[in-house]
Amino acid sequence: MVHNLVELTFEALKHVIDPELHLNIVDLGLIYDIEQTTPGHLHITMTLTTPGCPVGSAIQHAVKATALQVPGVEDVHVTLTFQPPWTPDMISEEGRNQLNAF
Amino acid sequence: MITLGALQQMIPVILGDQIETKRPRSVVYGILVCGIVLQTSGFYVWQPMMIAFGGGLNALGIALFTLPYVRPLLSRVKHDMTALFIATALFYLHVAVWVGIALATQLQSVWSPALFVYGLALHIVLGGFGWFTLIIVGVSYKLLPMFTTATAPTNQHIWRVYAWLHAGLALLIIFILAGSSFGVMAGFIVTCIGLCFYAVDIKRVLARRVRRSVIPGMQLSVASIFYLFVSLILCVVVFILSYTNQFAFAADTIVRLYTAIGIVFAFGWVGAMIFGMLSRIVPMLIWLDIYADRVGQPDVPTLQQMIQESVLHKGNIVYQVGLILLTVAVSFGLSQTAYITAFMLCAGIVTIIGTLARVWLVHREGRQHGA
Repeated sequence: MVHNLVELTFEALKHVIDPELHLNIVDLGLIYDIEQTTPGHLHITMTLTTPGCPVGSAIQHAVKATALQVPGVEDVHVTLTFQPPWTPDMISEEGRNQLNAF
Repeated sequence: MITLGALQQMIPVILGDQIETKRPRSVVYGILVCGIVLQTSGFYVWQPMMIAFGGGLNALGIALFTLPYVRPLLSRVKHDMTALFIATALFYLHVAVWVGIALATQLQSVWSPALFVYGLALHIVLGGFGWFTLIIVGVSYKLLPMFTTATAPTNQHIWRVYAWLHAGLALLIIFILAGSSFGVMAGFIVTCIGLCFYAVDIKRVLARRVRRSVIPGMQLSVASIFYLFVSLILCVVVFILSYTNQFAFAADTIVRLYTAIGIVFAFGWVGAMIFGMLSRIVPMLIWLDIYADRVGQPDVPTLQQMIQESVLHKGNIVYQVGLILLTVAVSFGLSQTAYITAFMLCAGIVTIIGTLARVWLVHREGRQHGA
């Protein structure tokens, strides 16, 4: 059940698209970790491509709002971190294929 | 104005910090607009004190713009090369403006004709190289990897470019004031070497990018680096040819050639770089204004979907073809051709600006992106 909720949330967050790169934030490597602290309560650790990213707060809100729509999720806490800082190496293979396709 | 406006958006991104300022930015904007209008009017009616006063307003506006960034920039210059570039460029901007004000007062009561000529050259070098070139080079080291999803060059590489550009700038300033043409050319050559290192760094960034396609805006910005090289190299070549009298250039030919070089610098380097960056920044600002609170919803467009890239691409081509042909026409004194090619250049500019304006017109009511 725990595993499913985390997996479902990862899948749901693939609908949050970075407007600059046209790639979802999961394949972009911005979601570092999703942990279910207590049943129905998620703690998401995420980053941004750059600390001063102008769409940073928008993406953070979108992550919380999207995660809350996952069945079984009652509360979401989002932590923003830059340790380690994001690099293009964190883009998934699928993400790289999509970027190469543009 | 465009560069300062873009900096206001980009400095927090580049430094990774939101900069707090108690003073509304509209005050700075208003002062700068008044200053520019006054200066332009002063040139038109040829009233030196109007020019000087307008310059004074510009100096005030630029100082007010810079103030909130002084402490954040200075706290980062030791470990962030982009912060060092920005801080230095803003310093040169202030010096350039004050040299300009001094020149304007000279127009009223000339106290040293030779100083006026050297001062004008200094004003152009400080503004064109000290301010604009340094700010673009410094900011591009952060923005280009960001826009192309690539790893940025190391601080060591960036420092190398910084050192060479400043060596070139120092030579230019010293030998302009000393009235030595050879020294000035040496300064151009050293600056060219620094720009060569910069071009190598940019080439490496582009080679290592994850996102393979280079969007039209970035294409124009990258092309502008080529035009900068061309203008500098042509400057040195024309100087050598005119000095050695290889082709027995008449005085008006020399003027035409340097005018053509100025066109390449102004429209090829400055203009193309600005239009290229605007092609990315303007849609981003519009997107933030309209769609920022709707991220994750299915009807939210990406930046690429908001802008007609095919039209933008055509505008870029028309712009560059017009620029090249205008440069040739001016060089050879073909006035009719110059008018036609200038029109072409303008058509390119209108296309680019029109494409960006369309983004706002289409999306201003939060409508879904069209085909």
